[in-house]
Amino acid sequence: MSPTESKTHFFDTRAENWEETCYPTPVRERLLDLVRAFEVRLGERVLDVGTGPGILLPYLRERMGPIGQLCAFDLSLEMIRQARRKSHTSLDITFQGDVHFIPFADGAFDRVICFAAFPHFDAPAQALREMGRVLKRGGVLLVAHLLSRQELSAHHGTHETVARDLLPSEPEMKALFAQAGLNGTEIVDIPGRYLARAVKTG
Amino acid sequence: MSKDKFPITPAIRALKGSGIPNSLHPYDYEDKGGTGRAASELQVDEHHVIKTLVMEDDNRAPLVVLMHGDRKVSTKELARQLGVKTIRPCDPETAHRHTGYFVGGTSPLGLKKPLRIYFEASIADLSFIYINAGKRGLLARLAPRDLVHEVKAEPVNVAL
Repeated sequence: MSPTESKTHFFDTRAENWEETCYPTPVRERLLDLVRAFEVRLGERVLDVGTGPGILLPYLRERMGPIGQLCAFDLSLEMIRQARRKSHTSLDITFQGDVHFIPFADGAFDRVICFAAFPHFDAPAQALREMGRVLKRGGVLLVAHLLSRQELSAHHGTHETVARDLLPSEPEMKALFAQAGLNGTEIVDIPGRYLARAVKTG
Repeated sequence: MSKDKFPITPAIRALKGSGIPNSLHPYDYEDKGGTGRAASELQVDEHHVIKTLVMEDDNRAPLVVLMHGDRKVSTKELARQLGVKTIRPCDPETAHRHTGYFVGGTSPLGLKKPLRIYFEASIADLSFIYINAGKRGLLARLAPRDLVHEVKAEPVNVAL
């Protein structure tokens, strides 16, 4: 089994209980705070990259209103099956997909959100290029976690399959963002929150 | 049609050029038999046999929709998702003019000119699909992920 297949298997086999295990009520309250920090606006077209069981979808949908379009994908089909239970409008599209080859046209989205997924990508630079490519000029990319970078390293370290899935250091992350045409990168890295935000200027 | 005598259609040429792993599957074509005929002849689930449908929006701009053989396209929903007033299927002559293929032998690969291509999102759930290889009675079996990447297709939710 390749590393990618191992990881997909890891998430497939945990999909059914992922939400109740990882997002009990107190965590959801912090999640709601984090979603507010995404500053999603009414009517936007938003892409949720690595959506997992779609934990963000109801919160994003609420902020986008009924006319925005919410697209979400994940490499794990079992996670996607969980996420599809949360789609609220017929405009929403949830599918199995790979961040390294995002199946949307250039400049398709106002906002791309990558929550609790970035360290799992095989080729972070390519993933960022793709996320940047599908953003409109002036669009915003957000890479977020409910743990700091250090907390995340400790957390992933407890599972062999994802033990080496770490967030880049702040200078590395800023350089990766810049290479992807994303500028003005701001990174908040505090206990209980990691939020990297950048704007597509090119 | 013996296996070593497949015609070189634009779709097969595109497949060869792409390096996508695939296999070709001839079957006894029947006029208006659709994907049901192909599925029955090849003894596969019709859900895995993908239709290539050529349509136009209200500005007569052409587009292609890939849909499970056992499902239909809601053109109303497709128009809504694409932000246009209406979408309707092309007549056979117009579809041929846009794609270079004849009805029953239309493939999203090797199109005469680049067209917007959309796929029903649940096609990506499948580990393999059968898609027309550019000729009536000939399908190519491949991974949907490879096809979507090769033809730069975008997902939609329009199945009925």
